[in-house]
Amino acid sequence: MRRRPDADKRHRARSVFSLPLVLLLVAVTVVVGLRISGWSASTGISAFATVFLSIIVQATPFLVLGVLLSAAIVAFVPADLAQRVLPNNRALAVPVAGAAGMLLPGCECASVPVANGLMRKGVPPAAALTFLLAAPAVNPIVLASTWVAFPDDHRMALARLVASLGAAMVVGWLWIIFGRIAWIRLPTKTEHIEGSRWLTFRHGVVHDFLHAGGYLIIGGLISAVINVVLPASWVDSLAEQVILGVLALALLAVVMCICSEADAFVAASFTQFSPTAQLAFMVVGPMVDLKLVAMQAGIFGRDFAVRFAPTTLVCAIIASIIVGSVLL
Amino acid sequence: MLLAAMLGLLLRLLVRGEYVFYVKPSLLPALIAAAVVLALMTLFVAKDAWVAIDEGEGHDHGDHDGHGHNHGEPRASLLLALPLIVVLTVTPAPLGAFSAARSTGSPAPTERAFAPLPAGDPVEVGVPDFVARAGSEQGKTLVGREVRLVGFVTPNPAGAWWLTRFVVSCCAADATSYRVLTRDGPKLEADTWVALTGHWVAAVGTPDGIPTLQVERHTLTQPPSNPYAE
Repeated sequence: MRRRPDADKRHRARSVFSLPLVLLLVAVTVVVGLRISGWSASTGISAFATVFLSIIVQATPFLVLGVLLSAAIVAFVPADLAQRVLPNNRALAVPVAGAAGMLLPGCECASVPVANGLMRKGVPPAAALTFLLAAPAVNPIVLASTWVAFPDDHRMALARLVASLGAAMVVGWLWIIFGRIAWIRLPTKTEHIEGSRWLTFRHGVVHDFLHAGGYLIIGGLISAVINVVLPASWVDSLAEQVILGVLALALLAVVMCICSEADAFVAASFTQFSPTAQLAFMVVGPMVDLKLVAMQAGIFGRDFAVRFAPTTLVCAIIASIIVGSVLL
Repeated sequence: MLLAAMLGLLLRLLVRGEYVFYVKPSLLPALIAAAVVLALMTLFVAKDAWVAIDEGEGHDHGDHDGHGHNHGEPRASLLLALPLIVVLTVTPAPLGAFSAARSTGSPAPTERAFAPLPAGDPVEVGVPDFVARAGSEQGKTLVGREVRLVGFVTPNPAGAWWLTRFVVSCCAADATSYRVLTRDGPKLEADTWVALTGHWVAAVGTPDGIPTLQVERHTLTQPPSNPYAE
């Protein structure tokens, strides 16, 4: 049993020292090359760099919080706690998990690793996924910022709560009916490391950060490229159309990758769109955006992400339209 | 040492104060906390690697072709070096004229009541505040006042340039631009920061929510410590 951790460590030691060296060489070459060619003065590149880095810098503290929580859940929470707290009926566990989402004061970057930690701790996937979707959308900070961003219409915050919880629960129940555990790749390796809980915690933090972080960068890259190549003003022409307006803002939420704590202010600035379209922007954003889908692919595997993200997107849009037409 | 790359990114932006180009200044404590956690993680990984090298002498061949690429760091984690590379290659800068010219322009102002501006001309007004005041109550709080606005130059293909300021609610990815059309302003390059003193032109109205400023004087300024308006 002692062999495996040792082998792991040796492998890690090798990859730690060789790959970064290569990267460092590439970096130095690029730095020197760009400085000489004066490329950094090019404003399009500069705008791309600013948007890319702002997504990464904004997400990093929340990702760190998420991996700390996730590793703490795996390492320190008793194994049977989830079974004791959650109802035995899986269908009932879904709304409980959705309501529990109100307790995590963070944004979507934190919730992906936390959902992973919950699953590894034995929480049924349906409940963990509902939590993953609900937590960034319905926590008190996000609802408060929505309340502030729409000073003239406080029903918007209520509509956001109802539509987000609704969509998250429907996705959870859909998972119970159609979902297969084989789609989810759950790394269980760290749980087998012999040694203290503290060691498990440390390995979990590093492992999760490297996994989710790398994919976060992919999502941020794509989003920044789209931001520069295709400015947000393309949606303006669709503002008059009711259904197209909803779809346009939902799609914009997917590519913009805005933090759920800020998206209400951006949604409020789309004054030419219908309230339902604004609602769709706020319901979709925390559940499906490029950086989130990338992180889900990194943590749970590609098989999972290609099924989960489109399903969630459709549920979120439908929930927004229904709640928007009733409440707004 | 991909953790160290992320740590390096945060340290560079924190030490040089460049983080305000990307996120709101109020995120500073969270960034510092994240840097501390990353530093500790880097130390632990480095220590483990050190121990592994010490113990692993002579056993290295057994592991060399171990097909074991599915454990250890995932490939994608190599990308964590990218933000640091970008920061080192492209000079960090706040969003400027390039993004402003391609953004939708100021959001349509919503009508609301404003308190009168403080006494004493010229009075310092933020660009977003100026836009909002011009669009409310027929701009009555601006009538007869001399104002001083600070922003950067965004060229206008159709005529006089715009004095521009971005507002950020969380990070630069969600920035909204606010602009004021200048009249009789000096000829200036894109992205030049300038303080303009002048009067609101009531007669022109606010087409697309963009008010006009009759420029009396101008002073070139340094970019403010927070390039984005509150």
